[in-house]
Amino acid sequence: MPDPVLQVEDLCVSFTSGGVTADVVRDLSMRLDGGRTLAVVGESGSGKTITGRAIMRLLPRGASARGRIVVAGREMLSADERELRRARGSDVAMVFQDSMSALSPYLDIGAHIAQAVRLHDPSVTRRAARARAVEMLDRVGIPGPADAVRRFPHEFSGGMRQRAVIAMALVNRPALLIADEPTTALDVTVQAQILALLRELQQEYGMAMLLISHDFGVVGSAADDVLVLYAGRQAEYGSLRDIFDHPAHPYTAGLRAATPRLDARLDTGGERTRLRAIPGAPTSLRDAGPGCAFAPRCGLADQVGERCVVEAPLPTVRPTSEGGGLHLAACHLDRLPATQEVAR
Amino acid sequence: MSEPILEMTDVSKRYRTAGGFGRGRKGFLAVDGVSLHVERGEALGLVGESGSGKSTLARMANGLVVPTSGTVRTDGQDVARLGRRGLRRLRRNVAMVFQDPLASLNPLQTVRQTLENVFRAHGETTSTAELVALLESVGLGADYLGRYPHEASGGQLQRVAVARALALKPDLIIADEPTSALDVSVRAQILNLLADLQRDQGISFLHVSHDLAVIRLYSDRVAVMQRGRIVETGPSDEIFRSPQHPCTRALVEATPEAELPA
Amino acid sequence: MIVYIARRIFTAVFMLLAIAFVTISLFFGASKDPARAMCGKPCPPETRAKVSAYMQTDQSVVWQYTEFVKGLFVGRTYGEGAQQVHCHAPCFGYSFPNRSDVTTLIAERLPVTLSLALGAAVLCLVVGIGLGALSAIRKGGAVDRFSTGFAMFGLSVPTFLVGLLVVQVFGFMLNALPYSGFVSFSESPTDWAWHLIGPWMVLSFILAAGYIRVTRTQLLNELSADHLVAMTARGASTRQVNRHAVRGVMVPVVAMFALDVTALLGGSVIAERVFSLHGLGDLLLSGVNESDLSIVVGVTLFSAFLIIVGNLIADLLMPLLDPRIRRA
Ligand SMILES: Nc1ncnc2c1ncn2[C@@H]1O[C@H](COP(=O)(O)OP(=O)(O)OP(=O)(O)O)[C@@H](O)[C@H]1O
Ligand SMILES: Nc1ncnc2c1ncn2[C@@H]1O[C@H](COP(=O)(O)OP(=O)(O)O)[C@@H](O)[C@H]1O
Ligand code: SF4
Ligand SMILES: [Mg+2]
Ligand SMILES: [Mg+2]
Repeated sequence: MPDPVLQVEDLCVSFTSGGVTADVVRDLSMRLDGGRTLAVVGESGSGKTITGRAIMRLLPRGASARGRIVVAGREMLSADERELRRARGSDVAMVFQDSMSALSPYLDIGAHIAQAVRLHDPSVTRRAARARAVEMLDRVGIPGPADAVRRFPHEFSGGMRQRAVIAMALVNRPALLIADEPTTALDVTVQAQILALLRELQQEYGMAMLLISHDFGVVGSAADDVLVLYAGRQAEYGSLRDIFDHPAHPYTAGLRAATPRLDARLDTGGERTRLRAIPGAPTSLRDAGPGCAFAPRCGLADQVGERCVVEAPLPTVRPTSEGGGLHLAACHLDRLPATQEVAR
Repeated sequence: MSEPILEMTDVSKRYRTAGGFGRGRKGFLAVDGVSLHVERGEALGLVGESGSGKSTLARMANGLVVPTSGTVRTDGQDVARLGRRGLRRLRRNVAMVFQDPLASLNPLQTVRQTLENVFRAHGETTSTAELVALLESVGLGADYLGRYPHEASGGQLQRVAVARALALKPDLIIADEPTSALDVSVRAQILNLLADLQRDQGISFLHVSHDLAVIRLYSDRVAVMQRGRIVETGPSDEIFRSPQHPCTRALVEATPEAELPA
Repeated sequence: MIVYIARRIFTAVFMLLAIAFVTISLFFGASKDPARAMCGKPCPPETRAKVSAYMQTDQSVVWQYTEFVKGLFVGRTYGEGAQQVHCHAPCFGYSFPNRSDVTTLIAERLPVTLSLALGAAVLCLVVGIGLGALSAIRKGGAVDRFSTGFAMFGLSVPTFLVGLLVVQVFGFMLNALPYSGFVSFSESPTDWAWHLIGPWMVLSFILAAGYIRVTRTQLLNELSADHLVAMTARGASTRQVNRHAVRGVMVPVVAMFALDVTALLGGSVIAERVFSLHGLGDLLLSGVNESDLSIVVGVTLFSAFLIIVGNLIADLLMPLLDPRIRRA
């Protein structure tokens, strides 16, 4: 097996405020090889962004990470400032959800990309860096790139801006791209274009991609493997097929059943189908008790009983479909009942 | 068949734009000669890309946006001819639910005050029992009456917003992206709630969304908008099974499936 | 962009003309005829009419307004024959009690006020931005706590109190600083600065508070802004990121400074009083005391001119700092 581009072991992230320290992410592990895409799925507050930021050591004030993070052979948690600077941008780059706020309002698009180039290799001249910017804008499909480099972020549409952000992230050909909800703010048609572009560039560059999303639709069309987060913990991990066809965690199955599908009504003969909603609202790790964080919303907790409320389940190995890799689920139930599995 | 709850004939809306650069001095034509109707008890879905004029069109139904030309008949009345009082009476009958529940509720008022204000605005009084019943109809307990918006989750707040819309027993609810700001697992709760209201109370819906899958599941007919015009309309099953207009086709093809390609 | 500049300049000119009109109608139109003060104690009506005609205060407001505006460009002549006086362009009026044109009077006093205002501006920007930036970078640290308290104090204490305090502390008790007097810059730059340190501190003390606040909040916002996180993600060092954050701070600071030109001039009036300096404020006050309307109007309009030019400069600077304004 080749060395993975990204390896995370038992990552915990905690926030300290007012003398109180609380975990918001706990015991996350993942492994991602070059050329592959791992989707991190979860609802708001589940810790997706914090996880992505921890990998780049870009945590906000007051946050600290424990565990082990290796990116392209470099230990990120023990790296010093200089090493980090070298890693950021060239080993690992990031695309943000809100492309407007991810770009400086005071610099034109070309300056952003040129800056990325020169931070990575100071020997490149300004002119050469801007030339690279033009090339890169062309590569991500921005029409009239020679003209576009001189535009400012606010003069671009949302889709164009996200293309520019992608150009900026990929200009140094990082081994790992962390894309934090890269299409959430975009129209469906634009969303599809951006996803296609990311997939295409990933293949061309052979890079690994950590795709953060709350949308199973996006995940289904882009991921190889999926990590489902609930309240800062890993609920389920597996290949896309295992997660979609044989979910082993009630939350995963519930999320799938709650996600509308465009083809859902074709097979019902016109009778209106309803989505099966998960009762209640998502919690965060801070508010979760000692047991399974999903227990208050889980329809199967009754079947298990007391254990769900007092003991947090650890990820255990689950059966995989043929060709599937590792499949883990953190649930006290060994098997989901069939009705749960067939979501609709 | 009785008169449609909402009937728009050839309506246009031109926004005046500041400065007069780019879009031209004539302003910006957000809705361009649209005709559309919503039958009583029907849920009409309005889809289209961002900026295509969905919200503008929806807001003309209860006079929040005044059309530049064309007529809007809501509940049998010509909206343009209604005076201030007439408009207020109309708005009892036509309620709205917005995208961001937190922004649409006053942060300084408890849920009870928010709901009471709706009654008061129309010169009516209400009892605690009535308010509790109202909250229960959207699946919230009586203890929410005393809460402030920041003390409830997004899904709960959207339920409050729906309760507020239901308070005066409207015939038509305009829901402008009612679930876009909600978490996936909560989204379905609200959509099912709206579907129940349509089925059990016969309320009609104008449901604006950019999510085709949602519209397909929760509306009877669909209208597709593009650059201020309706380019295709029909029963939702038909539209999504065999989209005719290139714009609809592009939207359908772009919608990612939460399903593995076979 | 050209439209923007043209519009700003046009607005500025229009504002000036409007202010001139309002000021002139207020003072020359509505108040006692200044000729009465000039004509002496026993003042027969015909003498007074003569004086009035000589001072041109017997004319309509509109006429005086046009004459005034004309005087700004071509100068103005009062009376005729032996008694004729000429006020050279730019003429801000003629002070008969002082037998001098107002422009000269202003020019005499201007160095004092300008030294005061400019020095205070520099000091308050340096202190305000510096302390604000330090507190943002080390949020919650000693500097932060000190400057937050300082800002609070500066924003809530009246100017004259601060002035007296500074006079007390530095002038008398330490016997270190001169507490009055002015030495021109050309005479001796060190003495010039030495004499002005007190008033500078008073003026900037009050204004710096605002800049500490704005710089601190804005820089804190900037430092956690996504685009700077993104910059770090590209591999930029903390120094590079901080330097970039400063840009975001400059825009509100410039906007605030434009507003503060007014406060600076207003504060100068008070500081001049406290430190017995003879600047524009002092001139204005003497004009008021001696019912010399020409001086009042002239100084008022000249100050308005300074303020509007200050705002104009800020307006023209903003698009250079922020492309969103440049390319709106
Ligand atoms: N008050 C206004 N003044 C000027 N233009 C406006 C105004 N409101 C909307 N517009 C413009 O009219 C067009 C249609 O806007 P509308 O809000 O109806 O779009 P929408 O289809 O609801 O989009 P979205 O999916 O983003 O909500 C847009 O291009 C918008 O910029
Ligand atoms: N700056 C912060 N200070 C304190 N807590 C934070 C901060 N940022 C995020 N959190 C907490 O960390 C958890 C995970 O947040 P995040 O990773 O942003 O979630 P997601 O991206 O999945 O929506 C949440 O419970 C959130 O409240
Ligand atoms: S551990 Fe219990 S509560 Fe948690 S998901 Fe499994 S069955 Fe549900
Ligand atoms: Mg996030
Ligand atoms: Mg809208």
